[in-house]
Amino acid sequence: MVASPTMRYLTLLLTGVAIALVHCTMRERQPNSVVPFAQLAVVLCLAIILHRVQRACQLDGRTNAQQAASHLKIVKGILFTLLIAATMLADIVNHICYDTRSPAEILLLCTLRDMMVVLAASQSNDRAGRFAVLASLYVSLFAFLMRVSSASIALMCAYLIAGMWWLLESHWADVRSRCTRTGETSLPVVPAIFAIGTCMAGAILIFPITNSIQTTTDISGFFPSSGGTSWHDPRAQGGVGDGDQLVRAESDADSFGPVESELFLESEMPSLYDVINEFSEGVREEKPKQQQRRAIPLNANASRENHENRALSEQPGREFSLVRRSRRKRTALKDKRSTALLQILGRVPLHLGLHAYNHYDGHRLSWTGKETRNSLELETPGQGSANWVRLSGASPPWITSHADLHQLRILNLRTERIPSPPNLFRVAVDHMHTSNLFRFADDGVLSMDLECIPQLSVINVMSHRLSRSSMPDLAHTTTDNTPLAISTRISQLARQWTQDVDAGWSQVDSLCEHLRSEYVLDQDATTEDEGGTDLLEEFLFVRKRGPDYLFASTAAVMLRSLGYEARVRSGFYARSENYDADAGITSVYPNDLHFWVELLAVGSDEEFENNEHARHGPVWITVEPTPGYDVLYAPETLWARIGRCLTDASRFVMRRWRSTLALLFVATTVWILRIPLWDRCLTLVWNYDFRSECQRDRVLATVRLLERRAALYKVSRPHHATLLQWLQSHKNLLPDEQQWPSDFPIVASWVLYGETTSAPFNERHIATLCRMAARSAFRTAARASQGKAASEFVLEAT
Amino acid sequence: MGFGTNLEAERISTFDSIEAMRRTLNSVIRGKESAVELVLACLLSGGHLLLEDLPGLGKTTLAKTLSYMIGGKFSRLQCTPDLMPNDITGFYIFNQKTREFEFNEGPIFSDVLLADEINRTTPRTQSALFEAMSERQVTIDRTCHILPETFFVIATQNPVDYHGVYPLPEAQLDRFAMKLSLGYPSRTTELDILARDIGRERRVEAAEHVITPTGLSVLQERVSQIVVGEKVRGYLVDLAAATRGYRDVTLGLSPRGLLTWQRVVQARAFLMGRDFATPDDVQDVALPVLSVRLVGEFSSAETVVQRLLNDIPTPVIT
Repeated sequence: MVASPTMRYLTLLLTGVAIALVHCTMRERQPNSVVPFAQLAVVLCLAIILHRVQRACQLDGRTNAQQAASHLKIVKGILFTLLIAATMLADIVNHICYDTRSPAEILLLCTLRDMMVVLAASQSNDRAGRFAVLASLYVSLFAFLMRVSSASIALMCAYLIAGMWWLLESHWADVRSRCTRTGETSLPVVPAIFAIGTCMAGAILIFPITNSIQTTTDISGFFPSSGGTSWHDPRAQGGVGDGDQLVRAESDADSFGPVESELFLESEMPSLYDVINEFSEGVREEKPKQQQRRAIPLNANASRENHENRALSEQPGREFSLVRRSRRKRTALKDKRSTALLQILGRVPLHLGLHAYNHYDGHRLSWTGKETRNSLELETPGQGSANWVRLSGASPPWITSHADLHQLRILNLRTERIPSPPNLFRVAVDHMHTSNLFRFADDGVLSMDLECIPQLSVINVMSHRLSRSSMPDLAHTTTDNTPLAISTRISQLARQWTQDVDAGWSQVDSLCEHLRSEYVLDQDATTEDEGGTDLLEEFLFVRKRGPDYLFASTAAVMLRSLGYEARVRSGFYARSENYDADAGITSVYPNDLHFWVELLAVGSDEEFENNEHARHGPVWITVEPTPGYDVLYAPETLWARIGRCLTDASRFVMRRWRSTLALLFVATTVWILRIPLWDRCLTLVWNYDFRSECQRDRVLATVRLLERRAALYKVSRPHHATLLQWLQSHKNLLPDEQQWPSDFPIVASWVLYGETTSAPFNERHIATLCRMAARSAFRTAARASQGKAASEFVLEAT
Repeated sequence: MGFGTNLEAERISTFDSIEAMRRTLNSVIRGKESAVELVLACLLSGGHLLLEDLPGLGKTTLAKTLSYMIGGKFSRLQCTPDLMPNDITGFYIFNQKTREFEFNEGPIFSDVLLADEINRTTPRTQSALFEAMSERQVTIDRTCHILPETFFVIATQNPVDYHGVYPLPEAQLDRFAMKLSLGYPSRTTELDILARDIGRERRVEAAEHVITPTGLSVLQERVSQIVVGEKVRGYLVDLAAATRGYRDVTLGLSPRGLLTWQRVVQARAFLMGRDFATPDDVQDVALPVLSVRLVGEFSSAETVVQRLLNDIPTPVIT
C-alpha cells in the first residue's frame, strides 16, 4: 500500500517535532554550543541528498531497475555510515571546543534521530515511513523524559496531536482499502478533530489526577541512561554515577548539605547548632562578648558519634545527604564545592538587601542615624513545622499583598546580616525556639547575633510582595531625615522628566523609565574621584553610562529632589537566569552584588495616621532604576494579566500608530490580493522546477502547477475525474479556445502514464505547450466558473 | 500521434485497417459510433462479445457484418431449446465405406461464430462453448481439436423475453469480454435509415472483407504490446478490489476478468492511436466489461459501475 500525501506530510511533521525535541534537550545541556546546530544541518543535508539520489534512481529504474537498486543500496550504505560518523564527529568537536563529552544516551539519541531522518527521507517505501514514525515516537519520548521544560511540553503536545492525526489517517487508509462501500474517501475532518480534541481533553483531565512526576520517572526507567561519562559527573541524570547515592539519608548520612534534616553530623565547621551534654564545655566566661557564639541547642541523641570524614555537598539539586543503605564498602565521597554565595528556593528575581544608605555627600553613600525598627517576637509554635519569628508591625493593614516564602541556604557568604527580601516580616530557622538569635543592625537590616552566619545554614524568610495594580501612597520627605546632597542641575532634570505626569508613582515610573532607557549599564566603568566633580552630574550629563550604584544613587537623589523619601539599598540580586529548573534553586554569585532604590510608603489618607506609622514601622518599597533588572511583584491573577496585556498592547499600538496603520494596510492588501499573490508564488515555483533538464519533470511540474492553481481558484479536480476530463471541462469554460493548448492533455497523459513510450511531440513543442498551459490555465476559467462546483464541470465534459 | 517506435508504412496500414473496419461497421449500424468503438475494442482484445438488446435493434446485423468483415470461416448458430452440445462441437460418425469413425466438425470450427439468441438453448448446450471460448480448443472423445487464433464468438440475447429462456451461467458470462446494448437510434438516424431503405433490395448484401484473420491476429498482437503503466495498473487493481468489497455485489471481478479488462483497455488505447493506456480508457470500457461479470442484488450494473468509478480516485500525481 502506498502512503497518501497527507500521511507523508504528517510523517515529516512528526519527524520535525521529534528533531525539535531532541534539539531542545541538547540546547539545555549545552546552551552555548553551536555543535548541535551544525550536526543537525549536516544530517538534514545528507537526508536531502539521500532523497535526491533515491528519486534519481527511481527515474533510472525505468530503464535498468536492477542496476539502480544496487546503486541505491551502495549510496544508502555510504550515507548511513556518514550519519553515524556525524554523531561521533560532533562528540569529538564538543570535546575539543567545549571540553564536554556527551553521555552515551545522548549519543544514542542522536544516532536514533539520524536514523529517523534517513527513514523519513526514504518515504517512497511505505514501510520506511512507518518505521520513521515509530522511531520518532521513541526519540520524542526519550528526549522529552530526559529534560521536561515548558518548550518540550508544548512540542510534546504538538507531537501527540500530529501523531493522533497520523494514526487516524493510517486507520482510515486501511479501512478504505478493505471496504469502499461508502462514497466518502478522504478522512472526515470534523469527527477527526472531535476525536483528537476528546483525547487531549481526557489527557488534560487525567493529568492532575495521576501522579505525573511519578509516571514520568517510571517511564524514563525504560530508556537507557548511563548517568554520565565518569563516576562523579555533574551532568549525571541519575542511576549510575552518584545516582544510587542520591537518596534521602534516613539513618546513615555520609555528607553535609544545606538542608533541613533530622540528622546531624559531627563536624569541625561552625554551625548554628550545638549539642549540649555532659561533655560540653559550656560558655566560657573569659571570652569577650563579641567572640561568644550563639547556637541552637540540640538533643544529644540528634547527632551520632562518628569521627569519620564527611563529604560536603554544595551542588544545587543534590540536596540530600549522600548515603548508602547497603552494608557494602563505601566509596570515599569527595566534597562538591560551589562558588555560589547562597542559594535561594522560591520565586525570583529577588532583591536581597544587606545594607541601606540614607546619606550621600557627593562622593560616597553612607548610613547615618538609627532605624527605629520594630521588635522581634516568637510566634506560638504549632502553626507550622518551623518556629517563626515575626518582625512585629512589619505588615501594616493598609498593605494589600501576597506573602512569599523563600528559603536561603548560606554557602560562602561571610556576614552576620541576613540577606532580606523587601518587606520581610517573618523568619525561621529549623529547631529554633527563641528569638534572641536575631537582632537588627543600625540601618534596620535583620542580622544574626553571631560573628557570621555559619556555612550551610538554612533560613526561611517570609515577605510581602506588593501587587503592581494597587501600590500604596508614597511618603514625602520629612525634616528629621538627613537629606541627600542635591545639586540644582540634577533637581532641574528631575523636574523636567516628571513635569507632564501626576505626582506619585507616575513620577517615579517616568523617572526610572528615563534612566532605564536613556542610560547604559556598564558594570566595568570606573569613576575617578576628582575633587569638586559631582559623580552623579558626570554620570547624568557627560558619560551617560556607569555601574548600578550610580543609577541607584542618581535615582535616589532625584526622587528626593522631587520630595519623596528615598534611600539606596545594596545587597544581592537573584537572577532568573541562574535558576536551575531541576533543583528549583537559584544560586547567587559574588557578581550578583547590586544597588537599588527604596521609597517609603504610607497608607491612604483615611487609614493613615501618625501613630499607625509609628506602630507598624516604615514600609520601604523597592524601585529599580537600573536597566536589565526587575522587581518581583505579587503573582498576577489571570484577569489582571489579560488586562495588563491588553493595556500594553494598546499602548504599543498608540505609540507606533503610524507603523500599525501601515501594517494594517499591508495586511488588508495582502488579504485582498491573496489569490493572485499565491498564484504568482506558485508560478515562481513552477519557473524554478521548469529549469529541470528532464522533459518529463518539466511536464510534471506544469501538471502540478495546474492542480495547485485549480485548488486555489476552487476548481480542484474531483478525485474520480481523470486528468483529460478535468482539463476538457476547463477548456469548455474558456471564452476563447485559442488560449488553451489543446495538445497539452496528450503530453500530460504521456508523462503520467506513458512510462517508456516515446514522446508524442518534439521537445520544443512540448515546452511551448507547457508554457502556454502555465500562462493561461485556470486564471480566466476561475472567473467564468464562479459558483459552479468542480464536479459539475466534469459532468459537462463527459 | 504516439507511434514513434513503429515504422511509418506499418503505421499507415494499421491506421487504414482500423479505419476500414470502423467505416464498415458504421455504415451498417448507423448513429452508434461509441458502440462500434467498443465492438472493435472487443475484437482487437481477442475477447468474445455478448450483445444484449431488445429485438430489432440490429444485433444480428452487427454480428453478421462483423463476421463478414473479418473474412475467414463464418458459422452461424441459431440457438433453440433442442440444440445439443454435439450440434455445436461436432461428432464422430462411422463411415461405412472406410469402416472408420470420421470426425464431423460442428459450427464451432470457424473464425467467427455467431450464436444467435444464446439464452434460448439449454445450459447443457451453452456449456459446450466453455472450453472453446476460454482456451480456443475443443475436446471430443479424448481428442483435442485446436481452433483458429482469431476464434471470435458473438452471442446475442434478448433481455425482455423470459419465456423458454435459460439465463447464461456466471462461469460462461465471465468468458465474454464485454456485454453491449445498442439501444434505440436517434430520430435523425432513424430518418436516415428509412431514407436509405427506399428502393433497396430485400436481401442484405454481404459486407466486404476489410481484414483477414491473419491481419486481425497481427493487430491483436500489437494491442497486447500497448503499455499499461504502474499507475493505471494500480487503478485497475483498486477498482477490482472495490467490486469485491461492495455488499450488494455477490460476485466481484475475478483475476481472469481483470486480465480481460486490461486487454480491452489496451485495445481501446490502440484504437485512440496511443501506445499507452490511460485511466480514461479504463473508465470508458468499465461498464461493458463489468456489466457482464458483476453478479449481485443490484438493480442495474450501470449504477454499481458509476458508484465504483466515483469511489476510487484516479491516479494523477502521487
